[in-house]
Amino acid sequence: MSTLGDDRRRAIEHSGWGEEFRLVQPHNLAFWVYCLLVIVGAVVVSGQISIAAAAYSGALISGIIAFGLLAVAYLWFIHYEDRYTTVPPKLAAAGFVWGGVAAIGAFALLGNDAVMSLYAKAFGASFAFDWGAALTAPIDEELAKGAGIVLLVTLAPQLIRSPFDGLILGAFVGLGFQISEDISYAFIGAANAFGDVGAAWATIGVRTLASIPSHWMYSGVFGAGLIWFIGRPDVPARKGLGAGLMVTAMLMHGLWDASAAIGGDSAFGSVVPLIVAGGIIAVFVWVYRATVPIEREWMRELMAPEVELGVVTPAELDALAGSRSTLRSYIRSQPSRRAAEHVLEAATDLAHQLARDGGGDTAAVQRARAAVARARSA
Amino acid sequence: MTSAGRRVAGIDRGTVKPALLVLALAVLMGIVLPSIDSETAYRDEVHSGDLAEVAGGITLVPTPGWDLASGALVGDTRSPVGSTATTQLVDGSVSLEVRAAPFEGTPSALLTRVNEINDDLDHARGSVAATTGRYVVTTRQGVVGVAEDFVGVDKQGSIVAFVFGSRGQSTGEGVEIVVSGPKGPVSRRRDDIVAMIRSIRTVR
Repeated sequence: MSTLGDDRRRAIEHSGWGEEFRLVQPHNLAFWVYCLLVIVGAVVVSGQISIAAAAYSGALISGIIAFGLLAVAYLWFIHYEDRYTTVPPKLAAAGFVWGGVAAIGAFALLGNDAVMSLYAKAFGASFAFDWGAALTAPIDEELAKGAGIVLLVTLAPQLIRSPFDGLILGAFVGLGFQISEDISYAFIGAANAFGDVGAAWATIGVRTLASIPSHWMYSGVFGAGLIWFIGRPDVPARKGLGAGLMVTAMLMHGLWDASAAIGGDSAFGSVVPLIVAGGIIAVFVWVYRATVPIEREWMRELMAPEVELGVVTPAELDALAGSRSTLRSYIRSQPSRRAAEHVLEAATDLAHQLARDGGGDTAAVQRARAAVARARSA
Repeated sequence: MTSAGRRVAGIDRGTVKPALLVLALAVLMGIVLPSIDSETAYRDEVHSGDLAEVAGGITLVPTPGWDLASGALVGDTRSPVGSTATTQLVDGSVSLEVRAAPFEGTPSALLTRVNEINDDLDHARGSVAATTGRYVVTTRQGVVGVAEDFVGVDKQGSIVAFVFGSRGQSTGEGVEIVVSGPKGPVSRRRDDIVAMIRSIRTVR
């Protein structure tokens, strides 16, 4: 039990689980740079929004509603997949805001236009037409979003402790960027079609369909790579792997943007985006599977003493610290699926409470244990 | 070492390097690259025989010597040009921008739509421009469009609207051409500009 207790304390310490995120840190330069660039980004983005509101208000409102709903769906999904030592909501929100405001307004809008224009000036408009976007956005935008992850790691080193944290935080940053970009594309679609709101809805449809192999995946892969590159106390730096994943995120982005040019004006052209999308999803799933084991191990170490205490069973611990399919298999094998789900939900709450209380036997932890017992007897 | 000892001007030393790295990237992308771009001239000169594809199936003959700032030359790009596209040709301070998108209506209705949007944009930006009466413009292919001239604080120019029929499609293809630049340079290139506008044709 003593060894298990040591493992529990080590898991809490190394995972940063239960720590609160504090954005306002006057002694941390990352806080001031974060604030400065979010303000600059907000000024640039609001300038765009005010123009769009004046001339293309229908398209702007349509974009905000449609992509607002899409954002909610993706926020839920990313949180659903982050089921072990979860990223605190305030940290996720700081990442989302960085992506949607600073990375777009202070970096991408200004940098992309300049680089695209320089490509046209250096290599000709036709080259820029085919390859400009694919050779600009993947570098500019991945660096802009990655910069946010660097700042947040500096602000919350105790919370971002594994490549999986980098994957999840990167996904939140990327999603913020994606939604902001999607909304701008909605009114740009109308602007390019003489203000036709129907064109905005066509854009909304296309961007929604293409939302899976998009920024939240690229930045997730970039974030995991960044954490591997710099290393964490429980995760030794693997510079080659980390750099490779950051470059891979740029390649994923670039291949997607270059799909039309790669396919050309042929029958093969319509298949290329599907193949590229499949590749992007496969890479993301691979990175997810490669990064998640340490999170499961921390969950197992945190909850193992509860098996000794008889609060949860070994099978329940396997389900809690296992993959989604292990969890589903366990629930399906139980006589009452609903009861099994309630026990596991209560056990998850217990895990969070234990992490918050540093593994101590506090009154809140005892209440959480009692809740597990109640769920079992219900 | 005390926390004060790890600080410089009240800032933790360990946070300086990553924060400055991010700030440097922002300066590079937000200030340095746009400055380099504004100092660099276009040099993708159009040659005799080149044909710009302003939308799928609609072409324009650019005047040799002008630079193609954005858009596609026929046979020069891999990506297909869709029904919604923009092309920009520049010569010094003068720009000829062509915007194409599906449009159901007459050239006059298209010009009215464009003017409404421009009024809204001018209002939002706090800029003003006065326009002249409308006049008819005909391409060498015989397609009739409508145009008007505008005079702003530092620029003048013309807006021309055409609607090309699309074979087998109920919606036509609207084409808006905006020529703009300082008064003298626009006047000196008048023949080039008229020739380019009259060269627009549908090949469908």
